[in-house]
Amino acid sequence: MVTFWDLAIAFIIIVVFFAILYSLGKGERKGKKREALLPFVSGEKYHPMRVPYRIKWIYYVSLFTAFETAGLLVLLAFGAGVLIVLPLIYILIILLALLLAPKE
Amino acid sequence: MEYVIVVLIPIFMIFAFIVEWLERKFVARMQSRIGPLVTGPKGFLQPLADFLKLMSKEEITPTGADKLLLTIIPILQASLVTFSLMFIPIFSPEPILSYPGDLIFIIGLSAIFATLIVLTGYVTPSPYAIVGSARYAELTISFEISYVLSIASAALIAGSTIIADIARFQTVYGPIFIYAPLGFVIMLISTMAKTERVPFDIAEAETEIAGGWQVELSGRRLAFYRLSMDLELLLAISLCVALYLGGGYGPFVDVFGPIMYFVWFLVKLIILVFIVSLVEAIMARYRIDHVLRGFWKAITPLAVLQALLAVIVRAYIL
Repeated sequence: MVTFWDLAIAFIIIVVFFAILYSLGKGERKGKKREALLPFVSGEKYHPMRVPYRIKWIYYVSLFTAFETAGLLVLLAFGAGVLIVLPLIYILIILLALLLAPKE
Repeated sequence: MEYVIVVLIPIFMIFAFIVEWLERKFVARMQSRIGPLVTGPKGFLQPLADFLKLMSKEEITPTGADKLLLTIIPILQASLVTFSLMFIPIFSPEPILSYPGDLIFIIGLSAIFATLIVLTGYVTPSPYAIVGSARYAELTISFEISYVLSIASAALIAGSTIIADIARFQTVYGPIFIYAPLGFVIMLISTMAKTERVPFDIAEAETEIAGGWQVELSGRRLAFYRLSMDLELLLAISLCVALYLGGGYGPFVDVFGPIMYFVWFLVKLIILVFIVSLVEAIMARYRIDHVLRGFWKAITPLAVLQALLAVIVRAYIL
């Protein structure tokens, strides 16, 4: 049986491994022409600026996936009897996150 | 354990490259092409060569992009998927990491993976990337329920949330695929949508939105994204094998031990890669509204039905 620290150490090892591998790749060269740094727009006229994006999408996806995991937890916990308390606490935390999430 | 993890990471990478090679070969043969041929025997080393080539290419960060996030996200994505793979019993009946509820933990990790893809489009200053990530967000919301319910069906039948235990359960009662064929098919379809395989590649859609959320990625960033997607395919198919096809259990496993276990796992994995490739080769990309409608109106209700049937199977048949 693994402990929380085993999981944490395993994840850190993996992140460090991939960070080292990433650093071995070729980086960015300084002094590139302005044209080379423009985003791809298929010949259209477009200023290099961040598109006004609705951040709500990321909230929707994040909350949806969190609820979905919680839903699964509840579904499976029904068969486990007393363990139902834990998923309910989990859902409560997500609901709190939903309430505290910044409004657009 | 630390040493085993360090050894396993490159092994998983190689395994992911092999899966990509198999997929490319299968699709090519079905389309009367040869596929990868030059690098290595039968083009076996082509995915590795592609990875190394991209790693050696210059990286370009377009004006207005969030450089820090564009650097962190690919590393995190590859790490998350590799971390999830540690919970799958691929090489032996006991995976390197396992604890009660690891199945739910993996689902949570895969949800973070999807969110990171959406975030990639958000931090890139390109209209194509924004459209691509918005499409992926819509796709995620539509396929995730059916994906999770198909996984839950297997867990309900086996009565466990430990992946290794679910695979072991099938040595006694036979593959869960027999009790929940619908769940197996739904999981395979959702897996294809999750890994953006044709006909669900609407978030990339090269001919419409020039690669979608990947459009501004280059060099090592693109190399890492491609590696992550290969690892994600390996993870999703391995999970399917473990949950529905009995993992690596099969005849002669008791006699030959872990080697035979791995051989059986590999055989089942190759069969699933073949099925995925077959669908990829014979189908064209769906329109986004068709995919959303299909998932919400057909596949999700079927997944709910399958979950209910799984409860009945568990209560009255097993």
